[in-house]
Amino acid sequence: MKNSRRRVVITGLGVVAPNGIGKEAFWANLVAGKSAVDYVDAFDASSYASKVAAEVKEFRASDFISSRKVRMMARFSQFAVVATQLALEDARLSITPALSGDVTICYGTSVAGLELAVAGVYDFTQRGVGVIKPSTALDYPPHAASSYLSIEFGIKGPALSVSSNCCTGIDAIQVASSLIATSRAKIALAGACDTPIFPPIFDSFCMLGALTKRDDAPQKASRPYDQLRDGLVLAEGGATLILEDLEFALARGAHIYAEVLGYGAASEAAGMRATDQSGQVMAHAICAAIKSADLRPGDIDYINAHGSSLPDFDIVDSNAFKHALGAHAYRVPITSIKSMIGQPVSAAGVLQAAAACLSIQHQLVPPTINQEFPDPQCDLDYVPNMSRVARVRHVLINGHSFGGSVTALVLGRLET
Amino acid sequence: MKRQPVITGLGIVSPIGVGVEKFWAAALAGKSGIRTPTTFDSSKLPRECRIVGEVPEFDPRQWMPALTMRVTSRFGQFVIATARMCNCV
Repeated sequence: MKNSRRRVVITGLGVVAPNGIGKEAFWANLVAGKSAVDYVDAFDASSYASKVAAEVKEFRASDFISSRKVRMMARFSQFAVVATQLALEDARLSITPALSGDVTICYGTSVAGLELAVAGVYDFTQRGVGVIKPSTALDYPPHAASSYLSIEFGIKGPALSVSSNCCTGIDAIQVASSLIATSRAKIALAGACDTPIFPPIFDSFCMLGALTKRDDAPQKASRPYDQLRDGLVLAEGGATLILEDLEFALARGAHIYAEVLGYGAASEAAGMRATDQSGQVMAHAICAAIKSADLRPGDIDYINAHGSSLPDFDIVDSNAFKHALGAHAYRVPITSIKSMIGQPVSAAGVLQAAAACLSIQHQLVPPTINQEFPDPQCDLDYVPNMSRVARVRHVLINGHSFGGSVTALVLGRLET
Repeated sequence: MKRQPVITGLGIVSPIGVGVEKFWAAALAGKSGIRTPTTFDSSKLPRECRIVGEVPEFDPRQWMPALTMRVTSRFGQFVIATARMCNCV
């Protein structure tokens, strides 16, 4: 049997981000260098160690989904359905019954619908046996989003869920790509969502010491690679990418943002809240991604980086780029969009990928904002504060999880 | 060139036995792992709900250091235990 891998392209972007719902608002605010970070709106956070977050404030699920369903669904599933509808519209793709078996779903989350489980625990503790909302067991698990996508859009192919913390988005894109590359699907919905801004989860991130304690100017709180960074800004959000077999996409005349070229991942095996400060493990994942894309380090002309604003994680990023790219690391523009949209946990990687697609389309790279006091350990070109015109053919995207998973993806402008 | 994956290790934590041998022997003997819960007080549940497939004989101390045991949830302990069993086969 001929063992030819299919080429995989990205043809649709659906974004539900703190800085905008839909790719237009998301992109406009990224290139404007506008922060979406503010004081927490969802609950009174005045007594918490951290008081800021990046929330999706204008989100009304009932504009997209029947209000009966909205009442059952966890917020992350609502984000998934809305992001996917936007992505399908962007791709001008309708999933007909004839096509439904050729579509696969690879979706991810970390926090999932924990707010429903927490509410259930509260009801149970307060009122005892027999009062919990019956749909709790169906709607809080990570796979609920994938299930809703298949139900809402009539998808009959495999539905998978990925959960690798902050690597989830990139890993979901990889799983989806490999299913298309090996002819198991023609189309994939690849995405991730997370909605961690509710009191017990927010508090647990506070207690871990992961969140910034800056509360004077929320817009300045997320400052990846800057010397004054003191932790991440927790965010919520989600995105769906439509992935297609290249030939299928060309045959239907689809707009092609980018090709999925390569992937690599590794584990630091250092501890739940420890990192490999040398960056060598991350560099290993990055080199594997570049190699599997049949490229050389010098071919990477832009990095949409993990850059979470965690003091230790940002050093890992910087060291890894130097290990993987050598002297070329100093010539490559590097953006952390988390400087503007915070850290939306699982959704980070797909939002980075969506931004990377738009950078390829517009040949423009958004800035890393809040670059005021350069950290000598992070001495690369982070596109400080102002977006920039750049030649963007091959983009590297990386992710780094608590617990030590690292992941990297290479997207490229379509070359035929 | 497509590689051919094979299964070379098994680790099992199940209601009918912890470890491959116990699990397999119980499965062949047609033993049921369904019982009244022992890890929590189920007396207030309706009678028809008082049945679960619980793992009755799982001792995390057997599979990991005490420190790891204290910081992991039960599912994490199951993961570590099954992975260790694979090493031992």
